[in-house]
Amino acid sequence: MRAGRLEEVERLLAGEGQEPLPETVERELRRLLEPGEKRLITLHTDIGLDGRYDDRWLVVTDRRVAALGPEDGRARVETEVPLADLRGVRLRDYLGNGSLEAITETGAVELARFSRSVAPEMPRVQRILRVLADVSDSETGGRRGRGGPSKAVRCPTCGRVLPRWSEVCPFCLKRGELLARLIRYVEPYKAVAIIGFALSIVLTFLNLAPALVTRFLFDRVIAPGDLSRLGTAVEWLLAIYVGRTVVAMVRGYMMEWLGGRVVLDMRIQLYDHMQMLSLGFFSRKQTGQIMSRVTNDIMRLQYFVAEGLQQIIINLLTIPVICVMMFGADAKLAALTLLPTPFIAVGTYWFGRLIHRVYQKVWRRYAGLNAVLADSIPGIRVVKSFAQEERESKRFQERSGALFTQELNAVKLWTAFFPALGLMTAIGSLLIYWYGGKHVIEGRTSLGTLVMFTQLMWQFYMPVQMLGEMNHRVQHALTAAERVFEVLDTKPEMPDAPGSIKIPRIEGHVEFRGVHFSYEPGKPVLQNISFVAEPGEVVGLVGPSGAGKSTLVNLLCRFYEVEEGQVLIDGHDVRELSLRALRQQIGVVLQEPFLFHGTVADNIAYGVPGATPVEVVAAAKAANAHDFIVNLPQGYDTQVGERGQLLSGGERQRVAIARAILKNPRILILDEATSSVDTETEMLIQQALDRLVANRTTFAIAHRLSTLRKASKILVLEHGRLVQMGTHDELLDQEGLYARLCRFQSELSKVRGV
Amino acid sequence: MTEDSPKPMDDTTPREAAEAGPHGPEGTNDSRAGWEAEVARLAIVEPSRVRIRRDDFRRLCVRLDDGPEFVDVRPAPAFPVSGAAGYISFLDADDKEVLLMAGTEGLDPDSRQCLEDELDRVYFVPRILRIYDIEDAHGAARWEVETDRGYRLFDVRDREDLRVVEGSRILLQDADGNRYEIPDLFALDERSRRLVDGEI
Ligand SMILES: Nc1ncnc2c1ncn2[C@@H]1O[C@H](COP(=O)(O)OP(=O)(O)OP(=O)(O)O)[C@@H](O)[C@H]1O
Ligand SMILES: [Mg+2]
Repeated sequence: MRAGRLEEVERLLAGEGQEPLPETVERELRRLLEPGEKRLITLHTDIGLDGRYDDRWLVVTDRRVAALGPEDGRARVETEVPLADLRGVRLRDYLGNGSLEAITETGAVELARFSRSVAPEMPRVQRILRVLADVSDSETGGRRGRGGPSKAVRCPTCGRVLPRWSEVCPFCLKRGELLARLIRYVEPYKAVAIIGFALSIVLTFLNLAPALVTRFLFDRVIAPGDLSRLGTAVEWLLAIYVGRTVVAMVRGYMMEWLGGRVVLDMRIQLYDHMQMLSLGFFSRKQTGQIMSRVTNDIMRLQYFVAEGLQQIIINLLTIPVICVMMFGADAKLAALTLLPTPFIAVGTYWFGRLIHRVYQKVWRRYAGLNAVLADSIPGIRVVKSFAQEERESKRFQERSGALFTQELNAVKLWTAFFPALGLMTAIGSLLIYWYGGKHVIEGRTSLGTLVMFTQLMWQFYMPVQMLGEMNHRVQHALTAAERVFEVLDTKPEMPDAPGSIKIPRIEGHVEFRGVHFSYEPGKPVLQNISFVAEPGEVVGLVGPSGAGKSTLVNLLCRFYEVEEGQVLIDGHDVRELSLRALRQQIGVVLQEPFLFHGTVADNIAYGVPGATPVEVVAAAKAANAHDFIVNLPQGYDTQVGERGQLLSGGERQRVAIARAILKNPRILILDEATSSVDTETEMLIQQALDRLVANRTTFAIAHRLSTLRKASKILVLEHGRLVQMGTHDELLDQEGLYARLCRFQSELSKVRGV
Repeated sequence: MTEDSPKPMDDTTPREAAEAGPHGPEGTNDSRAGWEAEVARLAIVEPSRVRIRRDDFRRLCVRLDDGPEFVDVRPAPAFPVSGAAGYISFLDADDKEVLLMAGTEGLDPDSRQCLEDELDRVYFVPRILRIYDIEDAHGAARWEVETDRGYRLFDVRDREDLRVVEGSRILLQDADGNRYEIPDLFALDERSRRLVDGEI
């Protein structure tokens, strides 16, 4: 074997690659290997060649590659190829699985099949085998392959997969920590929380006091017939009731304020944080889902933070107090009264779990219903133009029906459980009347005590019930908290990362160095892109739809990060630049221009909030938008409607161009910026742009190649690769994609008579 | 590679304009008459005309009648999930379709064997027959199941990866991107069904 090859393999392995083998496989492998043969890789694969899940091992040594599988308790070598015979290694990627094939002089054999859980390991195995066999068929497998997906992120403690975008493992999550984190939001309003809490305790006692006074009333006033004390007793009761009402009012307001305030803080924090998240976060999540976190989940927390937590503490306090009161008065009767308690507690706990599950489902149906809305309302034009209103109505009906059915399930539970619970409590009161009545008649207890018991009983079961439900209430709130924190814990883009470079004025030197990129792991969108754009240059990007043109400029704006290679601006990697400084100096006109609800002027000045009217008009003029704007009934103050839908496609584009121009960026990116306007308007915009592109670097994506005549450099992309580069004339001389596209378009324009 | 013409050319060749008229089926004299002709133009090949084999280098080769053989093709079922039609497309190394076949009925046994062997790889979606356990924590869940391809333990990342289609059919994707399917929820045993029921 050539020297140095093993070193290269060692480097590729980086100390990994050998998984421990089970006994049987180990034994068989020892039998197979020659003395001195060096093991390089032992990898577990999970699908047998017959397509069944099975444990297999792929073994690579410095002399051979072999696959071992279990057979009746002892391992067996299934395939084996000496490295000397190896002419190539092919990795096939399919939906849900893949296979590795060894190619020899005379044919190919399948070495292993594996699920996507193992697939990420395979490209390295392939590379190592190629090094070992000294083959350089670097393209075998071709672009057909999806490649290995990056492995799902797993929890370091329990090994379970983490939810998307989260760094917290829900399995290992400590409830206490989550609670503590929630409570931290109350901290700034400590005073209110503490006063509120104190009032709650006062209220608890005020609620229990009437029972004591009633006992006094019966035993000391009514029974002895003491008229003089009657007034005092009633006055006391009146005072307690009035006090209770006042305290309840004050406390209620304070708690609502606290809940509202905390939620306000959280919502703002959440929204601010979301704005900082990368585009990737938004393109994965459904809009409806994101919105529901800002609204629903936060609302659930509102109750819990303000009221729920205190309620728990108060309930925990009330129960022992009542117990003391009851046992102090009549221990035996107290014990009887408490008899149904365990049933109630267990019953509510069990019910809480059940209803929680049902509500989760209700919630999911609700989300499904929202999805229909979020889909069809913005798409209403399409719905109408295809006359599919009925279908949409039906879809909505179906989802509503599903929601209704699921809600009924919940209702069934409620309606069955609460009357049953009422019955239990009622039985408790019967016990009191029966035994208490006997005690009173036998003279062992006073009538007042009996009356007090009946009052206290109702106040006792309530907290018991609540504590029974507590588990699921807490769970409910924690789930919501988790979803909110999940977003808050998602790492934001750092607009001004510490140590990032702020270039006050970008010169406009742009370089791509061997850039690889994919949106979904393993499905390459850009491959090995390298080029240089000098300051002031106009770079045209052409290529078939889906070639990766928009993607390329996305990387330049650092909307996404490259997988391999570098994007350099003025010689600095964009990853080292301050995002804010970078984006302040890049102007983008997107393929689908998005306008915000507001006036035309607001939209043009979006990137430069302090812009004067003169500047706005100048930008609009340059974008050839001025004329149509002043023709609008309210000129620059015309509302453009949601997403700018009151304007035509070409008008929207021109407003978007004006917006980019006003920003006066150092790097201008035009992604099909003039695709929706007529040729004459395009020419006018083109002239303006020609003036504007002077002394800034411009990237222009265009399908109409005529717009790129002035480009000093044209990049031709195809299937994510840079296939040609040069000026318009140079490319025309080369027989290639560009020349073909051009010839085809000029034929078309002859037809059009242009 | 050389005849690999750019997309726009293929799409805009205006060669069918004249054909639109006469093909309208009897009775339906509506606006879709021209469309019928368009559908009729679709060259969907009868399986009986197709030969499929695997060469020594494990590449799939396909030929139509006695035409030239396309080497290293990949079968791609057109409706793998819904099974709306059994159409199978064959794509060459550049992902261009070389032929579209109407199902597998009528293929000779060898070809069929070959195709099935390859489809088993191309579309690997084990069917879940029985569920031992689903350990759930707020969306993320660990499933322990028996499939038609054996025992499997996998993690589902969140509910978006679990899709109910046609009422009782469930498609799943695990965290690593593996696919699974429950063909009919109601055909599962009671316990399995209850477990899944909690997830949907
Ligand atoms: N957010 C995304 N997530 C996943 N894939 C994407 C995403 N955006 C684009 N793609 C895929 O990346 C590829 C390149 O897309 P891109 O938008 O760069 O094409 P383009 O050259 O701008 O095409 P067009 O001329 O049609 O605008 C396409 O195959 C597309 O399906
Ligand atoms: Mg694009």
